[in-house]
Amino acid sequence: MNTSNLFFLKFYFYLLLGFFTIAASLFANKYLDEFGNLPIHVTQGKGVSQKEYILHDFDGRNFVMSQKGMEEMEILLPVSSSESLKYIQKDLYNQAIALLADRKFAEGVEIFRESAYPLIKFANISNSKIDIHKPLRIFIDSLLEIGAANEIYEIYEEFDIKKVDDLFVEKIFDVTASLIQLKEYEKALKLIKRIPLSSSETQYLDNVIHAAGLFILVEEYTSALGLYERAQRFRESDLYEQVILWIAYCKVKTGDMNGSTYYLEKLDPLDNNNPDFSLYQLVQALSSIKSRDYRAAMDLISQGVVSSDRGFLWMPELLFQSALCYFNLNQKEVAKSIIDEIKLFYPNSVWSSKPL
Amino acid sequence: MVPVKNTLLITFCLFLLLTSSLKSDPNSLAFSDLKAQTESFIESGDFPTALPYLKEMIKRTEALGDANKRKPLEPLFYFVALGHMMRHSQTTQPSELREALKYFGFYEKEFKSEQRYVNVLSSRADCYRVLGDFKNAILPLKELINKRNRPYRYSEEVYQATLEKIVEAYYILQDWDNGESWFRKLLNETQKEEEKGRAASALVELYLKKNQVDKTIALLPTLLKESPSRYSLGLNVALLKAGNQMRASGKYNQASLFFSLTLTPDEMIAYNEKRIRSLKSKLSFFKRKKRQEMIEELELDIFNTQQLMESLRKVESYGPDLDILKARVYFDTGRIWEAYYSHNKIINDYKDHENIEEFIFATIHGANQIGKPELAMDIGREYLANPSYQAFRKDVAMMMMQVYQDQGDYDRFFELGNEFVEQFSENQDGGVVIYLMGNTWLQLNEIDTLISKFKQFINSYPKAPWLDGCYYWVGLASIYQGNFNRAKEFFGPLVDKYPFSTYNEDGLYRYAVSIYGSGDVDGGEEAFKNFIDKYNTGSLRGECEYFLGQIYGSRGEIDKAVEHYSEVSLYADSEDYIKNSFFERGKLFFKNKMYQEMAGVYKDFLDQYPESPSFTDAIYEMGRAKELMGKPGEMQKDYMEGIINYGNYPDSKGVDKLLDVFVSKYYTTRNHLEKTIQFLEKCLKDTTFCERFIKDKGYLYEYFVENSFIDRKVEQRFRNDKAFESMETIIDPLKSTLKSYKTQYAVFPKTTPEDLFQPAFKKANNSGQFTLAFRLQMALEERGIFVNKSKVFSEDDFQFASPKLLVWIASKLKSSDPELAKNANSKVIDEFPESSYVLDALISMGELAQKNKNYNSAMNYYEKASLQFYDNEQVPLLVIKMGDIMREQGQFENAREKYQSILKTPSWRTGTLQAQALYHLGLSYFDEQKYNEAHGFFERVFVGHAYFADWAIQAYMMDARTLTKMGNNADAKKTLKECLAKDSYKENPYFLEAQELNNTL
Repeated sequence: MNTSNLFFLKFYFYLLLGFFTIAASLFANKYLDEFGNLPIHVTQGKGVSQKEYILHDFDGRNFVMSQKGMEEMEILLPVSSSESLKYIQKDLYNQAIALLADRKFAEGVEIFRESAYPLIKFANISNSKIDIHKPLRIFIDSLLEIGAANEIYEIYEEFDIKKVDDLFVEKIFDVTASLIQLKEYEKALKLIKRIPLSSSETQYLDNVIHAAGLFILVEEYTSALGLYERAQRFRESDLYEQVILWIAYCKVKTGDMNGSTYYLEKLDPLDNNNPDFSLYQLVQALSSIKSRDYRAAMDLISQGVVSSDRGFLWMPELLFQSALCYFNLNQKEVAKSIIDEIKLFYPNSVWSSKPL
Repeated sequence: MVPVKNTLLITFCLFLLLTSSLKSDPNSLAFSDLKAQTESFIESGDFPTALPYLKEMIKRTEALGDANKRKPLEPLFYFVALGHMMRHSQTTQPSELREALKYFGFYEKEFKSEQRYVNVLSSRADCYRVLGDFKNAILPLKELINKRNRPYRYSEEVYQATLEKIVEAYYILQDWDNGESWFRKLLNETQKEEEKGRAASALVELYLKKNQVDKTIALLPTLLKESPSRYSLGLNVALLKAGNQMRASGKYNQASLFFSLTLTPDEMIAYNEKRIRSLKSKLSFFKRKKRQEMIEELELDIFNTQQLMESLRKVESYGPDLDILKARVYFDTGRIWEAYYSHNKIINDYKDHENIEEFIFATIHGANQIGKPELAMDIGREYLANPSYQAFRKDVAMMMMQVYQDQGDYDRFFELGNEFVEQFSENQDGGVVIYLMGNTWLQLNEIDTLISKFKQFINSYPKAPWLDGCYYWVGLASIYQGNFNRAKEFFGPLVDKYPFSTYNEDGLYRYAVSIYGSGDVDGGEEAFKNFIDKYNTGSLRGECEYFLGQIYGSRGEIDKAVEHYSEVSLYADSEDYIKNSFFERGKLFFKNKMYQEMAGVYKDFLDQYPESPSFTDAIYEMGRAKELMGKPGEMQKDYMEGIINYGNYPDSKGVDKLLDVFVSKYYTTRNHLEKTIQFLEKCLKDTTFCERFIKDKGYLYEYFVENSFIDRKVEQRFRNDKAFESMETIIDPLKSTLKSYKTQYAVFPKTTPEDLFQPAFKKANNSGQFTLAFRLQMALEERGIFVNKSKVFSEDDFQFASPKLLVWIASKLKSSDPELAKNANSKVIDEFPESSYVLDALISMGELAQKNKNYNSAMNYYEKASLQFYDNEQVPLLVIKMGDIMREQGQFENAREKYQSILKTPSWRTGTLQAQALYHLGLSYFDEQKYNEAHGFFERVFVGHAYFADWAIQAYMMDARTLTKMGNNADAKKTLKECLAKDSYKENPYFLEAQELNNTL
């Protein structure tokens, strides 16, 4: 075979690969392409020894940079041994900050992108080595303010959650909530699943459970179930009992009645002073409601209602099912007053607009 | 320590890394060394150690006295203040914060325009906050907010934190007037759910304290956001008060909202305990990560939360009160299931509560409401088993009796009633128990038990306050048994000894009824009058007036009777009494031939009670009166209209009578009117014709016998009226009489029943007026016209049928669908027990049973019919039917007893019944093969009752058969020959049969 042909093929292959990569990234986030590779200006040292650098990239181990005035000479600075680099806030950055301070978030974000996207490639490096985390977090907060959760999702694709600063990890929960609001359930689930959960990393367990609750609120039971099943490994958690109940709940909702019973039987019967008692009652009542045994359901639900806090996640549904039972037990006025209560307390809940 | 938001010192914590720098006396250092040393401490973040160096630098800089060279003091003042703040965090000495404030003051004096002033303002506020001086903390914070961007520039994060601190300060100061706008600002601007909750909580508390409850409603959903401020004691106490306020003003749904949001101190403690656990978990994580600013924040948060819990533990819990209010408001709002379970929870959670008995009773009540009587009973039994519970004892016992009664568990019901009476023999509430027991025994028809038990109570507890009830029920039970004398014995003491008893009014009335019922009419009259004197407005007065009407009516004192009957409708509630008062008047007028008044009273009824089910009965009675007044045309017209207008109402049973009379009298009435008119016209035209009636009374008699359709009243006029004695005087009365008949003929319906009913049937049937359609079909079939041959009746048709129609339907179904026929008859018997058609239904049922050789059942129906309708003309025929059943079963002696009973009963000794009884006696002997005796009875029939052809011919035939059996064929033939020789028998349907028999002999 002619080697020149081989070379041609190889070249063509790389050309194709490059095309797809560009297309994918264009699809993913045009700003990353536009601004992501831009260099940033940093300083190192103090006082008279302070020098300004142009920081181009990070190759996994070293900062790729050049000194101001000597741009043609590339310097590789190992991150592990380097002193802290200080990010120099340029005019554009300051303009954006001023707009954000004036609560003009959309305009601020528009200007901010050019300064913020170049920082993303350094996000996985510790703040003690380069102080770009604060401006990057302000940018992400501003994106959240304007509801650009999809854009944040793409930015997070660039992050290594295990390396990135905790502040960005914590922010995942807000982004997830925002994605759910935008009905981007798949992305929300993917993002939340990136949260590390292990026996030594339980600090975000409550947040993950909370995020699962957000899926419950929009009736995305399969997504919620996945998260609860992940959380059920942590038996020592205060929320363990609730997690099991939510799994049983999701099983009923997804038609797996046997699965639901299996999980319910994992728990000892709950005392009515237990905060999860009303959820326990609701899960059991759902089966009776499915079989249209409204008296049996009412019996379970009303016990839950009297033992429940109005702030509980499952309260709108508990009240709705109570109204449904009253309605079917021919106490329509009572049912109506309960629906009014749901509409007042939980105007955004799916249960406030469901017909009886 | 006041709770503070925990962002304190965040700005400089990043520098908190201890260094191991060498320390020297700052006073002895050269300025350049002093500066270098100071910078070294600052860079390492060790501000506290740097303090003497910083202060020395300030001293030396100020010593220069050059106003233009004071710029270096700017960072020094700031760092000194920070140093003191950090020292405070190490020592917790308030003096350190005051020292920091002093240096912030120096800074503010000279360097307000510096960018760092933003930090100074924020840190100053933090110092005041930590010192608990929130009033002063507010000032720098407000300056920060108010001058944002002009001139101060800082991030959104700082802005939000500043806003939160202002809200916190106003809330802690409870400065509602100045705080309101800030609470609102935070609510509108923050994105954090927790902060929204905090702002809403503050606003809700504010509005509730200002008594502006309506403003809180829209904020309530925000209050549900999980935030520590929702667990504020002040907020929850305010919510509790608001709930009470709403409930007191009857706004139960709103009260329910507030109570549902109110948290108890226990819940607040539980929440904070959980929160501490969560914070500690986070703290250990951040400690591992060495995130100093988070560590500080979390430690402060934990400390504050612990302090809060300490104070919550000291608060006297209002949890029980809240739970009770929630439970009550569930009742108020009709949420009976929640009401039950919340009360049930209360009785388990607060066993020693002073109102525990009330809660138990409410729980029992709730259990009954949600259809769990078994639970109610369990709790009730437990309650009664506890001797210390007294407050609701009688209510619980009575409730349990009520449940036992509902469940039909009468043994337990009466057992508990007896116990109650024994235990509370001196308690007024025993009256209710007596009422329940008396009423139940009466309903169960256990009248003897009622009487004996209550008599026992009267003897055992002579001073019991509820004895009036015992007297009443024994009296009432005695009336039920028809024992009016005993009723008098018990109602007498009731009305004498207990003038204020709740039973007095009813007792006095029933006392009068029992006197009257015992046959003492005069005593009854006095007693009814006595009642009216005492209770002259009650509904029972109407009933008394009715009885007085009866009394005077029976004495023939018509005016008085009518006067009292007329009063009935003014007082009585009972439709029956009102209706009867009219109809009894009608009967009185009828008896006394006062037809005008009779028609008038029914006319009044029709005018006053157009909705009454007896409306068509009144039309019928009024028609009778009109007929008797010589107005048969009007009667027929009224009846025809009644049929068409009310025929579609199954409940209007009078329609069936209208239909009977209208059809049966139609042609005779028409003939009667036409012939009478013709006769009168002829009399007026033909003097000779008329004169003959005046002069020849024999001819008059013969003429009216031959022309029976002419009204006999006219004949009477010719005989008795003086004006009819001569041609000179007769003309005017004849004309007047003719006019009267013509008037009647004018209103008489000209369309015959057949021509009227056929199209009316079609119309009714097509328009779904099935009751009318069935009635018309029945009437037409009785006239031999079958309009709806294809109609197959089903059970669905029963709903449209009156009792008469049901009997008619049953008769149609007898052969084709005997089961359905039975159902139709049963419906009459069960659902219309007062109807006269029950007799027909019972006979029909008996016949169906007899046909199926179900003799016992048939006998039962006949016996029931003959007992229930003992004075009906069909009863002797039933007796014969019963005899026939016995005969069919070979019980000849018993059968003969039945037949003989007819011969022995004087009122049944009419020709045809005698003939029938004798004939059946003959049959009984014939069946028993006792031919001699049989021959004797058959002979008695055709000899003694030859006029009744049916029976006489049948007796001839049976006698011939008997004689044949006796081997006497010649006499048999002779007997039949005698029968066949009688001309008057030739048209009889049995004659042909006799001829055939004769041919076979």
